[in-house]
Amino acid sequence: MTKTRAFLYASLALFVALGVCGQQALAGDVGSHGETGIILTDHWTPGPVPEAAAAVLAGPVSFDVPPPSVGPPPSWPCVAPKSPCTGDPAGGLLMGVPLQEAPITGTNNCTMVKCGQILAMFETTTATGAVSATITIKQGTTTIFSGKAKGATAKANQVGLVYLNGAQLATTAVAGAATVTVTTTVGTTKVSGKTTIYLM
Amino acid sequence: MIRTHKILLAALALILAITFSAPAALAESGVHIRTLTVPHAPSSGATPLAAVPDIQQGPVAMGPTPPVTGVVNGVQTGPPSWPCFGMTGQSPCNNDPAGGYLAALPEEVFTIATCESAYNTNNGTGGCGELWWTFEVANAVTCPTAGCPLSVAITAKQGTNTVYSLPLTNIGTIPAPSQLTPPGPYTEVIYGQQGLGLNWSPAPTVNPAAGNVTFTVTTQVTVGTTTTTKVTAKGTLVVYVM
Repeated sequence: MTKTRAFLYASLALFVALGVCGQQALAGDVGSHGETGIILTDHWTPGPVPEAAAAVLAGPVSFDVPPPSVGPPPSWPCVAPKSPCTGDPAGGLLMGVPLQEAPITGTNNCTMVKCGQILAMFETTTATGAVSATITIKQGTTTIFSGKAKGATAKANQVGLVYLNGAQLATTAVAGAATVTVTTTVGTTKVSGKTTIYLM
Repeated sequence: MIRTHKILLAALALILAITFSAPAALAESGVHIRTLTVPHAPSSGATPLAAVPDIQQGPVAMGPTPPVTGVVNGVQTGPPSWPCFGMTGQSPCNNDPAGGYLAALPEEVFTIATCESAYNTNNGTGGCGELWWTFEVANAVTCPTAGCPLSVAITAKQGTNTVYSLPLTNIGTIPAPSQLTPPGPYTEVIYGQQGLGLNWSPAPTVNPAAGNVTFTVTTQVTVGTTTTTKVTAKGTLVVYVM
């Protein structure tokens, strides 16, 4: 086997691994997905807790390139310089490249295999307690994916990252826009964020 | 066997695209906004069967100033610590895996004093931190040889008070996906140091008070070759300043 062919097979193995690995969806979910997780880190920007702010502030939501290794810990999201992104400077976040398009036709499309990584960010001010999240993808009123993440306990003044690897959509997905919504609960406080992706 | 080769070649195309693509458009204007072109793999090789918008808004975020801005004595001498995407062969994130994107960690709480601090043209620091957002460019987009003109606008409001306003401003060009080497889809990152108040805004404004600030970012690309069309995407971000 040539060196080039070996390299190509290694690349293929990576993509296959991304497509097939991961835990099964929980009962009641629509579609299926891989690993989920919640990462918490202290504020990078120094300052006292803003008592007048909302208890939890919602950050951006993105649909990203999936990590080559699901870990734990996964290749991303990764708060630098923690493992495995130890080579990156503090204050940085290693994440997958944000994508806005996903296939639902052709071979290995997102109704057949797990696709992408959904990432949602939030920040606590005064809120504390268990963190959980629900993740949905909808087209109009039709839910074509849903999943859940839980597991961390937040302190005040922290930045949080909720991720879900590999969303496999229901076969009812149709070409067009779809809204990805992540609703995060910290203690008793809920916040939501959204992004739009285009299925084709 | 032929099918296997096709899959292998697709995998190689992804790696080559991420490894050898142009790292940045290096557009720079007086408003300190720059761009970074991040090629990525086709969506599982699917042929687009449905019309998608020419540009599609991605996440909007603001986070820490990169520890290395690349600005020395007022000159952009090299890449900043972020944004940066993995396996470019360039520092500083060349050890990150392909498909990775190193960004300023999104935060939602900033101090007024920091946000009002003026931009330092000498070292490229100042303001709340680095504002960034992304958009994806549809494969069908065509551009002149010189690329599609790219303009951005940014407003930051507290109720009816405008605490920052940048009117629609050209910051350079972006390529059509077919103009990349090799051709393929990509995500564009817009980024720059962002502050609030009288030290920052090129338009009439007021200084911020404690409370929420809503950023609205607008991206406008003039697409097409012989006939051109202006296409627009908008994104928002709410942060708290104190």
